[in-house]
Amino acid sequence: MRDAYVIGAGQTAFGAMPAESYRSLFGTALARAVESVPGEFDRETVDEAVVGTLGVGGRQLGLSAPAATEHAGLGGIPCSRIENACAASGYAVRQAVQAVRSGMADVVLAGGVEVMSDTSSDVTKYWLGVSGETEWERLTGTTFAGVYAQMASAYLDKYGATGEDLSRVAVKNHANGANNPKAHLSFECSLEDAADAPIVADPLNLYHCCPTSDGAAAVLVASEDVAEEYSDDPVRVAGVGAASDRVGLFQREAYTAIPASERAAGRAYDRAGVGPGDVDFAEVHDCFAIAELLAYEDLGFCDRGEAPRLLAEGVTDPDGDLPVNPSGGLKSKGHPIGATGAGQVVEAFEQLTGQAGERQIPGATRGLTHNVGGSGGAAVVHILERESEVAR
Amino acid sequence: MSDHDITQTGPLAPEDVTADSPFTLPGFFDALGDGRLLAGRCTDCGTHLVPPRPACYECGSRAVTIEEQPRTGEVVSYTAVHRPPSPFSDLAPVTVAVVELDSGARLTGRVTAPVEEVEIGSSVAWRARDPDEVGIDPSAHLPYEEDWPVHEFELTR
Ligand SMILES: [Zn+2]
Repeated sequence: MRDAYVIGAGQTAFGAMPAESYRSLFGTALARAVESVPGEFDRETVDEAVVGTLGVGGRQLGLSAPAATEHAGLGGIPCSRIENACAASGYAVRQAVQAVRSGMADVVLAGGVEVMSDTSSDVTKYWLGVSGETEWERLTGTTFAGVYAQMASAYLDKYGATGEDLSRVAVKNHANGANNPKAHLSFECSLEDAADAPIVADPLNLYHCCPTSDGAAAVLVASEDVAEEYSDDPVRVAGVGAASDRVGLFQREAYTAIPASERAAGRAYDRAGVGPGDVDFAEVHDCFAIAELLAYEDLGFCDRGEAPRLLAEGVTDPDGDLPVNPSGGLKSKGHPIGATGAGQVVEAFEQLTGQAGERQIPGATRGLTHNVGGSGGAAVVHILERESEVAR
Repeated sequence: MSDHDITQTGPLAPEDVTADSPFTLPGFFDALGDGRLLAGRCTDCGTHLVPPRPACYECGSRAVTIEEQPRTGEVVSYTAVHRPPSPFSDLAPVTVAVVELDSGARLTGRVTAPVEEVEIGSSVAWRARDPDEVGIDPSAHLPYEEDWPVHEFELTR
């Protein structure tokens, strides 16, 4: 099987962008991905495209990929939309890797886009609600925050963790996002700010929840046969793992873990031949503060119940042993549903190629991205590395 | 009231999966409207499936049978949703829980008590109600859901 490489990646800023459309956002992300390729790269080289989007509000639900790609000058290539709620474009990247490894394509565009800021809060809740177990979770009156809040209640009860442990996720990720010019909420917050915010769904308050954002991201994946034409030092996709689970939280084996994340990570580590200790940084799916704590445990960064300690001790700070969400994560960078997973790979690409500016983690040679759909109905993990720097 | 045979055990033939069958949502909600909560029960691994499904999502077996569930159980986790979707705004903050019934089956639902009175381990009992009586705006329902009852949990002590 051929190796797959990321030769370029780019994204729009995430945030509320009323003057943009899904097409203009997608076009900007693609243009930035193309610019990021070190060598000369013509977008006509793209063999196919996979576009992740939930389609919040409806919009171009049918033929969304042809609609987005024709606008970006890629008209006529094979392309399709991939949907796995908040993990849509993490799965788009995975599908691009599959196409390249299989030999069906040499260069594949994996992108994602979402526009959320022009819909009412009710419309957004509906679109997120139908990404849960609709007849049950949606009709209880819960929201997505309410489903994660039930994981938080169970976790706090089981391990004696506190609201302050949740707030520390917000403080860290906002501090990181303040260094990210693409971040939606690029301000810092204190532990007091985070503790005093209004309750959204007990025990989660406003600072424990990510925003709903507009944005797009694009990743160019190339085969080992052609990657060298575009980059002397491309980023290798060392491992990919994915898993699904029951859509409804109540139907799952665990509430204090996301089993699909654990299975996806296990597969990605196996394929890459590395373990959690070999990763220099991670972009994890912190849609709610509890999700970042669960991710530490599901991804094997610490034992069950130890995530609050890992965070409080600064291990996951930018200058810690294992920085998590240097981009600011979903919490601060933002969460345009369909663009989030590809956006994580953009951050990993920038970190691994030394282009992350003030967020740069010195010497980063291997990174992990972790993208979750819904409350854990789907998950996908990528392990990316600078081959030239990694002893193989 | 439907008089279908609820003792049927899979694997089901496609022609058995009709709107009368509790393996479909219409059949399941018909029974709930009659005051009976039906779960699927995998005869191979014992997993409960609420609502019933033709295949076990734990082990993949299609040897699923229908089992009527008890009324009482315990809260496994809970929250109060302070900003629910607007059809539920009259009920805000909405207390929502995952409950493990005495059979071991789990389901989620609204709790009629304020969140301060709920904790993990609280004893509850479910009942089925007409959504209009409860104060949920009908716009919450997709067209195919309109005739369905909603269940809710009450604290029993
Ligand atoms: Zn089974």
